[in-house]
Amino acid sequence: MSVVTAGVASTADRAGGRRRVRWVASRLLGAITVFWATATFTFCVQALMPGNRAEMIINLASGTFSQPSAAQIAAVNAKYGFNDPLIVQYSHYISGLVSGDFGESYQAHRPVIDIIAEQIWPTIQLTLSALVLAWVMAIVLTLATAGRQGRVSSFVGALQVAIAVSPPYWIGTILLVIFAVKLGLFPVEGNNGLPGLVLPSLALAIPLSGFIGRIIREEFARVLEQPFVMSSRMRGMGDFGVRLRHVLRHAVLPGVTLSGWALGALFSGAAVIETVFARPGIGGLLVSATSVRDIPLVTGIIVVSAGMYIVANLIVDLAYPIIDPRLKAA
Amino acid sequence: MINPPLLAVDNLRVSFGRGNEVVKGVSFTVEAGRCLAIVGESGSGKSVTARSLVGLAGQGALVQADRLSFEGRDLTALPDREWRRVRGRHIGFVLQDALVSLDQLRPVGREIAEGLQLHGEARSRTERTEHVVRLLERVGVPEPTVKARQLPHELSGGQRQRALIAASLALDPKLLIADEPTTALDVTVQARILDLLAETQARGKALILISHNLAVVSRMADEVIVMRRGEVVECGAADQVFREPRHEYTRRLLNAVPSMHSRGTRLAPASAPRPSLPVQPAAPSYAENPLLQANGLVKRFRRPDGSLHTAVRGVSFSLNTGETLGIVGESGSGKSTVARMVMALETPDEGEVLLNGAPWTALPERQRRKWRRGISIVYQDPLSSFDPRWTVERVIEDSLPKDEAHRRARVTELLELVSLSNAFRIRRPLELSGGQRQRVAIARAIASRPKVIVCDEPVSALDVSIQAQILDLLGDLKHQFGISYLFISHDLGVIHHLSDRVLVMSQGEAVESGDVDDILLRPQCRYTQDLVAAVPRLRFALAA
Amino acid sequence: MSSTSTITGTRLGFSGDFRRRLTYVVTFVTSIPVSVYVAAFILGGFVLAALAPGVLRTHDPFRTDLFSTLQAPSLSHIFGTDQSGRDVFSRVVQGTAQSMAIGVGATTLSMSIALTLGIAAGLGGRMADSLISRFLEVMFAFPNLFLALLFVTIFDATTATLIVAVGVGTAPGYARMIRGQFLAVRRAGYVEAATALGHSWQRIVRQHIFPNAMRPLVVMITLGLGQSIVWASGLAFLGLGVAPPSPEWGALLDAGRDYVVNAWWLEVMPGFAIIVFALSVTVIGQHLQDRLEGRFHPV
Repeated sequence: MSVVTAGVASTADRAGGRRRVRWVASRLLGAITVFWATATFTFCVQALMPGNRAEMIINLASGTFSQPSAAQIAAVNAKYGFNDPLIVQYSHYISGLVSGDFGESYQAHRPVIDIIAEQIWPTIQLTLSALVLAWVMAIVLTLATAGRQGRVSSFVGALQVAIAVSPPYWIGTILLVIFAVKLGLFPVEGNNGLPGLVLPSLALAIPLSGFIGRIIREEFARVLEQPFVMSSRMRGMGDFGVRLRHVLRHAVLPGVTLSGWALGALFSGAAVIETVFARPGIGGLLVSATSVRDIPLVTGIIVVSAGMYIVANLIVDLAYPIIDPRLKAA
Repeated sequence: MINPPLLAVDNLRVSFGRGNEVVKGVSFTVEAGRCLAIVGESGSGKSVTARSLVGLAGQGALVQADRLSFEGRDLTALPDREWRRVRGRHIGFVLQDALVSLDQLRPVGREIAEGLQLHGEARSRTERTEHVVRLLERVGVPEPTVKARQLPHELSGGQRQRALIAASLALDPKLLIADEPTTALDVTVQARILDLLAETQARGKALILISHNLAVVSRMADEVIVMRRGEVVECGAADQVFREPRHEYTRRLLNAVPSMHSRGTRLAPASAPRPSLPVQPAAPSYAENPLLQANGLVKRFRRPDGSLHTAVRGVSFSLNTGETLGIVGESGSGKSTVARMVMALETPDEGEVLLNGAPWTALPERQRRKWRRGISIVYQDPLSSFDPRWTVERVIEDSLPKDEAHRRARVTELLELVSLSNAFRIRRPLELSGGQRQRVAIARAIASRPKVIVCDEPVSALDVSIQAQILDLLGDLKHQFGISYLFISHDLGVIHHLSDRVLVMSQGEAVESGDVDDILLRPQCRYTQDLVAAVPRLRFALAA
Repeated sequence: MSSTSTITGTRLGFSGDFRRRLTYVVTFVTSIPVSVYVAAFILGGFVLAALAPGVLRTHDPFRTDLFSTLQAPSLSHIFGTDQSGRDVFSRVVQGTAQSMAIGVGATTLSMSIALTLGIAAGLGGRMADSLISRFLEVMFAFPNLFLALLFVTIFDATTATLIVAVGVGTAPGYARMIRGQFLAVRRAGYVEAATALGHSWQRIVRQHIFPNAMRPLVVMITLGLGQSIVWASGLAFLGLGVAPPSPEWGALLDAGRDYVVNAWWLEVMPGFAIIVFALSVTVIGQHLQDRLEGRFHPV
């Protein structure tokens, strides 16, 4: 269908193009607003912290629990600006974020942004590979069994419910014991290479595939009942052909809208999985920062991950019309 | 030797699970160039019969037949692989409501090309594109090259149905089965689709038409099969079946069709004698103030993309006591928006509605509430208008005026009025049939003893015989209580049967209004003329 | 004459009614899938473990036995023993009450927040709705567990913090669902029908909107209970939950982490308990939801 009368299309395209630019701009602005709000929220929560922060920082640095002198406390307070009014601290914080300055770690005395930059890549690798794996597993199982009657189909349905509620750390532990400890097929921990990525990704992907599977499975069964499916079969399309060419695309839509959410779940899971497998990454970093109350590092990681979530959602939003062309036309 | 018929079916039986037989022995033959129609109400098994002919009766269906052959080839024990070669290539199938029968996410052209691809025709992409454009041209879709690239929702309803027909004609099958092909369409569009099907038939194709609409069938069919609850009650040449129906059920169906001829008569045979309640006869009185008056109503809506859409543009009318005013129009004509403004559920942007000569839509809601019991509404889809948790009793009781004494007795009385037994009190909306739901909706509407009832397509979703009962009921209530109706419908037959005066709407405007016979028999305006001309009529007058 | 007919009418009505009800009960009971009965039975076991752990446990959950440390599951210790020789099964049973308390507490908090926000957005008009929706959008940007970790950093890692962290973390999702419910019900045909009857807005809210919008609440609570126990155990697994001597499920997981290479059961068995619990409430919640959405007609 390559033939099209160019004259008719171009004016419509130009008007549509202008509307599309405006739409993209409004999404972008919305994303920036949400990011600013997440940063503000994080600031407010950490401002609520009880106790004397300067004292805590000194103890953290020296590794002891002593009563620091007034002079020491005053020095720390001056350095971090704890005595300033909250509004001043807030404006420092926000202007820092804009210029990419997330503050300095209490424990490591290095810029937070550097520490995150070192550790973020393994986490992105882990979450992306888990996301792809989860989708592949969910789609294969759904294509083969959804909307069918029989034991295999209902078993797969039940399995998807079961793995959807299973926490990643539990699945991770089982995988670790079986494949790394007993069978020795994969390294037990660390190792940034591909073999080291397999088990952690699987541990993250399995529960997510159960979750996605449940959603698209239900939608798949619903779409299978739609008249257009019957219509296609009346033209001579076979059962599997209809599933693959017509139904799957419809069934995937509600799963895609949840991808942003899935990314959040993956970040949460990564924190746990990186601990189980002792992998480098911002999840494990966050957990260790939490246990020593390294507030700039904790808030830094949280703000960065919120930012990544917002960007991912923006991408899903902008890419959505490719799967659902109705939105492009409207 | 005589050639075998194109399609021969002998004693076709379809059941879903044990003892649940939905088609109980159907036999017929179809010849090239002929049209066979299968008529019946919902649950008659007509669609399942049609689908069995292409081996797609549904999941878990058991299909048996003494004979099922196409061009002499036996189809009874065909494996699915072979069936797939028959579908599309030898037998084309058109489903109803093209919006949901076409894949929403793919361009229309790809749907049409799908059959070509599957059956190994037109191998190259350009060849397919050309073929698709030719097909769309043939079924009368304007700008076929552009439309082929568009998505189903970008086409109009009529164009979509044409595209669907084009898809089923792609491989030039000898037999075309059309299952309710015009049901969701406006009459003018319906007329053109029927023309297209007739044209296809004239080119030598055999046609099996499944429909609940007797008028459509009488226009198209050479032979007719009338089905009820899986059984064939009557079959024969269309001429004979419509002129001299032998079976009681066929006669009842034919009598149930509302039209100008049925005015002032009952459409359904009276089943139980109706309770005789104190009659308050009220002849239409035109002297005093009109009961309801609409002056220059205008309503605009904002579209999702921000532009304004004017749904109603300056509509005025009046309704007198004891009178029925019909508002007729096609989809998108703004007739339902008028109904909502009359009910003061939507505020007009300009103009106003007066009730009993006093301001109505102009009042603030707080002041309007106490007058609301004077005007009630019956919707097309009563199910959504009932709280799913409530029983019938509670639904009706809730609409009684606060000062009403003997509430239980009054509910019984109202149920009796709409011919429902007391056993229905404890039912919930989901446990009622469509006709029963509409009766409950009417009982609720008359509970507050209103002067006016607005009926918004109250019978459009019902089978002909149920529709007849509901129309009879509305007529009875009018005579008994002197209620005035504002009756909104797309069906000219229903309007003609029931209304005293009529208002014709098109694209938000009232194009014509006046006495029902004047307008519908001698329309002045071009639009009304087209509308009246497009209505399919029973081709054969029923012998008395 | 008339009185006699009334009496027989009533009597007939009663016996007919009784039979109707009986058949209704029978079809109702047989219509519930076996999986739901199994789930209910298991859930009953958990409740028993929480209320009267003595009935189910096989050993003293606190008694150490240095001669039988780190034993794999066997007939005498079905979940095995830990590094101090304590019976893992008995410890899981003992910890049920505390784990459930955390789950119930977090769900209660989460539902309270969600109801407040959801109802305010659903009924409070356009301003309130857009403000609350924006707020929820911001909350969604935080990965659940990260938000919880933020709370644990700022406040001390106590049971209360754990409950607050999980409760606050899961609330936005439920708030959005409740808001959606209210908005959907507000647009329902029966709300318009009630307006047309002349009922006041307060009456419509009381009679129709509230009861209908709240119907899925039971489902949300059941599903939420399972979710919050899983989340809390995740935090505890990271060592940010209840202190180890207590046999709370998450604490058991945390304690078992160091031995996972040699004694997998310390990790797998408590996790198994959590999954079985979450699964059984999910099965029941799903069934309730199917019923509500009318995908399941018992009669």
